[in-house]
Formats: sequence, structure tokens, C-alpha cells
Amino acid sequence: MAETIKSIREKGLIKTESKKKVISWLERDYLDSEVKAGVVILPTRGCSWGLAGGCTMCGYVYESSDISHEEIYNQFKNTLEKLGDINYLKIFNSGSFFDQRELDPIMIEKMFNLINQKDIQRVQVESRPEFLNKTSISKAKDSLLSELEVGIGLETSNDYIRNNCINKGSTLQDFTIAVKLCNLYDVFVKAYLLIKPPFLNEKESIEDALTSANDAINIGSSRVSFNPTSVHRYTFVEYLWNRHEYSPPWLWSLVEILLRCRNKTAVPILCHPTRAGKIRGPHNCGKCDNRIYNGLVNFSATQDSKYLEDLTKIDCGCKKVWKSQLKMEQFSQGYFQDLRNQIHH
Amino acid sequence: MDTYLEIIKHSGPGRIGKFNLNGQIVPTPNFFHFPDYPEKHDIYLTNSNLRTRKNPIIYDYTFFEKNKINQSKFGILPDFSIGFDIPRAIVEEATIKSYEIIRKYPGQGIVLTGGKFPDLIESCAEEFNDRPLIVIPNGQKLAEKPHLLAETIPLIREATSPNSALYFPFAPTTLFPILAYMGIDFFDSSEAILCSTKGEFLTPRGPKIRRETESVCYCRACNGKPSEKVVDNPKYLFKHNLDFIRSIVSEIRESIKEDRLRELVEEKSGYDTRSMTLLRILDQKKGDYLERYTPISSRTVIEFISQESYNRPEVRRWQKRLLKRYTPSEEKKLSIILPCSAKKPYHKSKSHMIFQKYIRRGAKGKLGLIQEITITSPLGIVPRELEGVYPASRYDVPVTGHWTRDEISEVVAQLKDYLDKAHTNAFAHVDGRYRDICTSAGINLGKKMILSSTALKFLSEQIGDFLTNEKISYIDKIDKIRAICDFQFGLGSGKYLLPKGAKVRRYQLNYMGEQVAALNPINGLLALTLRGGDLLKEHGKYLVNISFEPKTDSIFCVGVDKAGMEIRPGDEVIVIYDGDLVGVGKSLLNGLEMTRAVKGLAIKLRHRK
Repeated sequence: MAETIKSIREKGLIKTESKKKVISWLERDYLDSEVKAGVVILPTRGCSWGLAGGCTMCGYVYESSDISHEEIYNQFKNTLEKLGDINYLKIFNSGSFFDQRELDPIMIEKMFNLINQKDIQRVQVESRPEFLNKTSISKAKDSLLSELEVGIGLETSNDYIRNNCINKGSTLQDFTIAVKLCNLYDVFVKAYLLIKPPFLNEKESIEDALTSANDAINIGSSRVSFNPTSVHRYTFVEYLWNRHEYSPPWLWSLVEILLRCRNKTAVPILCHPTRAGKIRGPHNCGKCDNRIYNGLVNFSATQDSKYLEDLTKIDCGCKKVWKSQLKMEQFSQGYFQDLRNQIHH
Repeated sequence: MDTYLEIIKHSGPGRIGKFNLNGQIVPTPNFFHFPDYPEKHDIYLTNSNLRTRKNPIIYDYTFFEKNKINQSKFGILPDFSIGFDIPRAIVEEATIKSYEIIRKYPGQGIVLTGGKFPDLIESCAEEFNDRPLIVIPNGQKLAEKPHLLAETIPLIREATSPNSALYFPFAPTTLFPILAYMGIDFFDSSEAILCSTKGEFLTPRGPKIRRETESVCYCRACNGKPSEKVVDNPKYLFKHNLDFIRSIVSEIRESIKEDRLRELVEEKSGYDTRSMTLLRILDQKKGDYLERYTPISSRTVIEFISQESYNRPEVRRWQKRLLKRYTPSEEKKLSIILPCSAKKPYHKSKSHMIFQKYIRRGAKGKLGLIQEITITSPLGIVPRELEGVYPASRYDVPVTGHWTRDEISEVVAQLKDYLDKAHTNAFAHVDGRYRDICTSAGINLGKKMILSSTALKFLSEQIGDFLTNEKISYIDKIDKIRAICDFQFGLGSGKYLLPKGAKVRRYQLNYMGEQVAALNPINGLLALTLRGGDLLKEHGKYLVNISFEPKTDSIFCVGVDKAGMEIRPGDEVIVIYDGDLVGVGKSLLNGLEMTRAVKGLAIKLRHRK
């Protein structure tokens, strides 16, 4: 498995261009109520796990660059100004914030100083568990006035799936240790869960996502973000997708996951699907996709269950097709032709 | 607490059987239904803990509930199903994990691992060859790949025990007949379910979308309503689709009982190119596999309904045996080539009776020097003494007077082979296309092939002239029967069963006052007596060694130690125990199967010592 991923990765790295610019945008999010959030993407050297091969679904390693730390800092400064008044700042470097090869600790301190001058309630970064240690966390906590939240890619609480389907390179144990550490320093943890890794069928993926959410919360995560797998270029998932051995989850599955998760947990549960409605992303039949996507975004931003209830009331012909797929896919013993490609309108 | 399949009858590799699931019996070929859907059925497959149905349920474990495996129930073990088009290294990794589980729970059904690699799939089948239910992976994709299907299914079938049932999940309904012909025992109702979900209506040509179909069906659900009305009602649509699957599966079972599975496959292949492609590939590349399971005779007349019929295993077998197990007698000096007749066996037809009258007249007492050969499509050539042997007397072919190029070249090849062996001169009393065939066969050999006119008198004269200087010595009447024996049991066997001095009286064959065999008028083959068995066993073929002394006429597979690989279903066999003859009778299975199987009947003895 690792060999295959590596060879695809190498090809991808040759074929994609490195990024030069910091990108940012505004979006809706939730802290104790709906807030205005800013997202900043820093093009660093790239996730060290990804450069060595990496996860089966991740194409973010191709967002990497060779620009200097100085340059990143300068662009970040300008971007922060541009974003204006926000309560929630999310800094993503498509890798690990605390990986010193990606971001210089001195630069981080400077960035935090800039942030401290603003009135931002919470800052969220991302990191793999191995870069979360006493030093990095305590330093960060010391230099930042705002609340600190770390997003960790747990993906699933099932070690077998994480290792054999995602090739994540970290265990549940690693995650647990990292969460405990964060909580010790009053750092919030947002657990990222992957919906439908390769080799899982639709039903298995729903159950896996729900079990993982439960486990993540019990371990100590303060919120959960569900990320449906989308097919990025030059990934192992794309390799499978090209051969019809993988299809992204249905939007109905996302609705089901959020609904059942909401019934069991009280923490914020989020779902911002990228490329929703497109064939490479989570989708339904095409007719109901937009409505469902909007419902999901509304729910994520407000955490108001009424949006979820509204979603269940949507009546589309494809819903019963989805239900059939859930029931029957498991008996196909291997390849199954996704029913979305066969819906007659 | 045993689960297994008992073979009742073969029609090619396809077979009807009784699948015994812990005491509950289900006829095969059959299909699994799913309990969450309407309509009752004989047997279900599920992965929910349903216990309300009386009928047998097979449990299909999912990979993430390995801990729930219950050894006291029969189920299909979980496998990490990775798919079809996956790199080999990954398939091999997943295989290791699946094997761990399979080894831990013997006696349970399994899904074969191996992705798209036939060698990996075959290894898996060989390793776990005695599992009662063996599931083919990636059925939906495999159905689109006839070459791979033709390669893989026979490998699996012969790597596994005959008492293992093969299940092909998610097969399209149009492929059911040919898959059954290849040896698949179980399908499922998935196509009915998925089509109903999508609003598709099942027809012999496959699923049809609502707006395009106008067919009227009289099943319980449709009841004469146009299908546009039916598809709008999910309940009726489902009922119709499921009934459709039921009827195909029944039709398959019925055709095996009537020895007509091959005809059914040829007929149904007209509806789906995939099926036709698969049939042609099987005939071209797996002819031997098909032949190994094709019964040696049948009461049913073979119907040559399509071009594919000409590639039937029975035809191939006939031609091969003619090459290997038939030699025209050395005393023959002249071969007379005749056209075939509609009435079979040929000698009963008016035309042949007239031919024979004139031939006899011309021969003037030296008839024994003449070998009569009939040329026919599809078999090629039929020597007079073999024309009662199945299938020469039990086939039906559309006669239009037109022969295809393939037919002609086949027959020419057969005729050339015969003339090579025969070392005789040849006259042909033929017309039209037959004449071209004879010319084609004769010219290349440079033999004196004289084409006679339709005037039979001329033929008589020619014969008379030719034989003028020939001397005839004693011709043994029994030679004709010896030819049949050779054809049935192998070249040279005739001398063992019917030594010099053997006599024939009507259908009885005697030697030294004892009956050794009887000639079956229906299939033209010999049935042995114990004395015949004693004589023939010296030939060393068609022997079955068993491990016990039989107390009844039923010899079960479990008692079979060794069996000749030349044995076919329906063959006359000689049963040996401890070096001695203990009986003679008819086999139900081929040599390979009766040795490998542990359940079911192998031989029905006719005479027991």
C-alpha cells in the first residue's frame, strides 16, 4: 500500500506547481453562537508525512511551496488586515502548525503578536499528534491571548481502518495522549473525522463516523468536524476512483451522521463539505444537492437542530435509492456500482 | 451439523443439486433472497440478527463484526473486500488478513480473495476447497468481463470440491443460464431489488426503464397490465421482478432435468451479447472443461438451434473419438461415402435402404470389404457401425441445403482424417455440396476418388468392377459391435469384451455361452454384465476402485478411492474392491468428481456380485 501511495505522490509532486500565495476567505462558524470566521491558508513546505507518501485521500501536500518563512509572515500580516473584524481565526498550513520545518517558532510568535493586537476570541490551527508536546503547546499558550484550538486528524477511531485504508501513520493512542496534553493546557481539540475512507462501503462509513465521533468526544475532544472524502488529484483515492473502485459519500449519509450524532452528543458538530454536489465530492442525484449543502452549512454555523430536521423533511427520489444502496452494497462482496450513476430522471 | 451440496444430475458442468443447510434442504441452482424485502423464498442471506423466518438463513458477516462469528450457525465469513481493479501488492496484503479469519473458522462459507488475478483466486479456492459455500468476489464487475469469467470460473469449479456450492453475487439475470452452465449453484435477488429501486422492469433482454417498455406480462403482479402501469407501483414492480428471477431459476433447473441446459443457454444468449460472447469463448478455449461434464448419452434429442450448437461438447467428443477410438477394419478395401438422411439412424431411411440395396448388388457377396461412411453436419462423418451411437441418432438439425464455410471445412477435415487412416479407395455417391466436400477431401490425397452420378446402377457396376479381383475372407459379424465397444471404452477394448468366438443374438452379446453385454437400442451403447465386467477390466479403463464391499446397488462418493479420469456422467463403469470385480453399473458423475466428492451418489449398480 505504502509503495503505491508513494509512487502516486511522487508523480503528483512533479506534476503540480508549488503555490506562492497565502489564500484567505471569510466563512460562518460557531463558537458559543454563530460567529464570523476567517480562514488563512499558509503555503509551507508541506506536511512531512505527506511528502514521504502520506494519507490515501490527501491532496493538500500539493498546496506546498518553497517560499521563505519571511515571505509567509509578510503575506500573513497583509491577509490579517484584509480579513477585518473576525471572532474566529483558522490558520491552516496543510500540514502541522507545530512542525518546525514548516513554520519557524519565532515566526509563530510574531504571528501571535499580530493576532493579539486584534480582538479575536479563538485561534484554530492544525497538527499531527507527534508535533504536540509540552514545549510547543505551552509556548503557544504563553504567547497567545486568544483561546487556542488544535485540529487533529483522527479520521477514525478504528486503528485498522486508519492504518490500512488511510495510511495515517498515527494510532488512537497517539491521539489520546495529544488530547490529554492539550486539555491539560486548556487548549481545545477539534477532532477531524473522515467520512468514507477507501475500501469502506456507504453503510460501514456511516457507522464508523458515528463510532469515531463518540470515541473522540469521550477521549476529550471539544468538538468534532466531519470531513467527507473528496477525490483530490494525484491521490490513491483518485487512483481507485478512476477505476470505479471508490465513490464519494452521498449527502444523505452526511445528514444521517449529523442527525444521529446530534442525538447522542452535546458538543458542536461541524460539517463543511468541500466540492459538495460535484462528482469528486459528496453528492446526491444533482437535484437536491444544493438544498442539502445549504442545510448542512446552516446547521454547522448555528448548531440549531431545526436545520437538521428540515433536511430530513426533504423528499427526493434519490433518498430511497440511497437506502437501497445502504442495504445491498454489503452483499456485493467487493466491487459495487454506485447507484447515483444509474438514477433515471 | 453439516452443510454441503449433493449432486443429483449434470447437464454440462451445470448441475441440479440439493443444498443441505444444517438439515434444511434447498434445490439448486437457486437464489438467495434478503429478509428485509417482501416476498417469501426458500433461502435467505442476511447480516441482521433475524430469527423469524422458518426457511434457512445464511448469515453474511461484515468485516467489522468479526467477533460475532458463531460457529454453531452456518454463515459466510467476513473478508476485507477491497475490490477488483486494485494493485496486486495490496490484494496480497488483504489476502493475508482474510486467510487468518478463514483458517480460524473451518466449516464456514468464504468469499474468495484475489481481486482481478485468476492465479490468486485459484490459490484461495484450492486452499479452502472443502468449504460448503464459496462466494465469487466482485460479481458485478466480473459479469462485464467474459474472458476473465471464462478463465476463472472453471478454475474455481475444479479447484473446489464438487460438494461445495458456488455463489455468484449480483449476477445480471440474463447471465444466469450461462453461469449455471459453467457450474454456479447460487445467485441472488439483488437485480430484482436494485431494479425495482431504480424503477426498472426486468425482461428477458435485461432491465428496461419505465418509459421505454411496452411489454405485457402475465405474472401475478402484472396480470396483463401494460408495464407502464406496473412500474409506477413499487409493490407490483418488485413482485414482477422477483417473479422474473424465480422463473429463470426454475427454467434452469427444469432444463437440467431434461438434459437441455446447453440449448437453454444458446437460446438465452440471443438476448445478451455478454452471454453470447462468454459462450463462444467457452467453446473456443474451455471445450475440454465443458466436455468433461457432458453426459455420455441422453434420451433427449439434441437440437442444433444456432451456429453455437456446432461447437457443442458432444460434437467435439464425437470427432475426437473418431480420431482416437475408431479405426476402419484392415479387411476393408473400399469406402463408400454417402449423404446423411433426415431419418435417424440412417439405415432406417428410405434413401439409405435403397443405397444399401444397390451396394449389395454391386458387391456380389463381398459386402464385407466395403465400409459405408455417411457425411453429415455437424458430426462430420459417421461410420455405418456407429450410427446408432449417441448422438448420431439423436439430433435434429435445420436443413436448408446450404452449408456454411465452417461446416464444410469441418466435415472436409473429418473426411480427410478418415481417408488417411482407412488406406482404402473411396467412391462417393453424393450430390451438391456433398460433392464439393468429397472433392475437397479427395483431391489433396491423390486417391482414386470417383464421383458417381445419381444413377445407382452405375454405382453398383463401379463397385462390382472394383472388387472383381478382390478375395474376401471370413468377416466376423461381431466386428461391428467391437467398433462400438472401442468407441465407448477405448481403442482395443473390443477385443477384451468380445474375444474371438463372441456371438450376437438380437441385442444380447454372448461369449462362451455367457452373456457379456447388451446393446442399448436407444443410445447405441453397450451395457455390461458381471461377466462382461470381468473381461473388460483387463483393458484397464473405466474402472472405479472403492474402499468397501457394496451391500446395495448405490455406490456413494465417499466410498470411491480411485476412478478413471476418462469416465463421464452416464458412462458404464466397472467397480473393483480389493482387486476383485464387485459390480457394473452407470456413473452419475465424472471420474474426477466422484473421487473428490464426499457426499452424494456416484454410481448406480446394475449387477452386483
